[in-house]
Amino acid sequence: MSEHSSPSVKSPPITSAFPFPSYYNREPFFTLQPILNTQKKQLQMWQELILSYTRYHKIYELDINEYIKRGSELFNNEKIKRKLSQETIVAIFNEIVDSGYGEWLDKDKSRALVWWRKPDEWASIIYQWVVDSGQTDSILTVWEIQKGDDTKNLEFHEINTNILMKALKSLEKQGKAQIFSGSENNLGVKFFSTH
Amino acid sequence: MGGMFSFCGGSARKDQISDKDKAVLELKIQRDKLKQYQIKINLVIQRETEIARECAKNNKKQQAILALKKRKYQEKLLEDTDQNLMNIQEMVSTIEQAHIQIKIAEQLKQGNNALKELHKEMSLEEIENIMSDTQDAVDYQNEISEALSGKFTQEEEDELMAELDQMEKQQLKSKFPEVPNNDLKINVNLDHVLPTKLPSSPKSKPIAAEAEEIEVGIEEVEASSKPTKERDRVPEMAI
Repeated sequence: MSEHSSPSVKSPPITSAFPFPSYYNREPFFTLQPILNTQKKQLQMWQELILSYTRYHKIYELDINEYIKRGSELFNNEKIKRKLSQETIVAIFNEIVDSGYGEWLDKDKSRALVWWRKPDEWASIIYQWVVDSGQTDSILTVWEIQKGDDTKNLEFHEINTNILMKALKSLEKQGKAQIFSGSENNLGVKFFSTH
Repeated sequence: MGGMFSFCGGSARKDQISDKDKAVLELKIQRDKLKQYQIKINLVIQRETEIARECAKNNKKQQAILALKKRKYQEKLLEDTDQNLMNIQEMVSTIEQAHIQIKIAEQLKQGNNALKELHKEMSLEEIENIMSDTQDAVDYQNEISEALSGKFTQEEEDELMAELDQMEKQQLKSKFPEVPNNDLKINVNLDHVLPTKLPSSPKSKPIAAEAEEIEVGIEEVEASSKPTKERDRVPEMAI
């Protein structure tokens, strides 16, 4: 994984203008509840919070240990002096992965992808842009989809390479695109008009 | 990296990637690299500017000038890359345009062939035959139309008759004034108009005498007309 996967990993935000929900200010929210039904509900609420937080900051990939080390606001509420333990965070992310909104990137369960949009959703957004901008049958580099001047104002500008490749693979399965590699393993995509 | 993207081979639509596509990809990869290079140069320019400003503030004139010279050099590099970028973009556009033109030429050729095939199926002689046949049919149709024109169906005729009846009735109505419907109650004393006795004129003869005169008159007329016939016959009867 060289230049393609790393650029979209952001350092964790410490504080931000993100509008946290009211339950973020309740102490029991930060302790994993022993009663199973309550715990299930709690995990779901955390999943919702994490997905909307990562969507707000356009975070595609995060390193749990890094977030704990930096004391990011996401898992650490300074106001009520409560923070999530590493085990609880892992439990929450297990839930997220099980519900199909993310993926673990390592065996140690530290780095994870969060899909506040699923790869298939990204696939249709990107394909729609290609069609609307008249770029079917032309060649695009993967880099220009992520970083090009033409995508600067689009939602998928600076998209995480891992998720982008999943989206492109999905388009390939649908017969709407073909990924191929050029020199030095640089990747290109040819998009097709659907017949 | 290689492991992750190894799925690229063996895909169903691999055949759709032509040499032209690969050439365009290489050019675009080169363009991406130049853009990344520009990002780097811009960062260097920013940094040299900051250094120059810092040195100027601290009265390190020589170092400030050096930093500005470095910046100038980077700016020149940036201009060169701009030129290169433009050349690449031009090349990509030219390839894409040529590709489109080839496709158009192919399609025109196909269209031309299709047209030729269609022409083969229909000779000029055939068209002429068809056209003259068509003219005959048109003439025949006109004849039929002429023969039929002026004739109406029974229904149409009944309608016309009904209309005529209606018109006649209306005309009759307008000729005579309406008969009043209400009972007339007028008492006219006829005594004033008609005298009970006819006035007797002194000159006039009694009716019986008058009748006698008329009878005599008739006999005279009859007598004057009969004798011509009787006079003709008499000699014969006398013999």
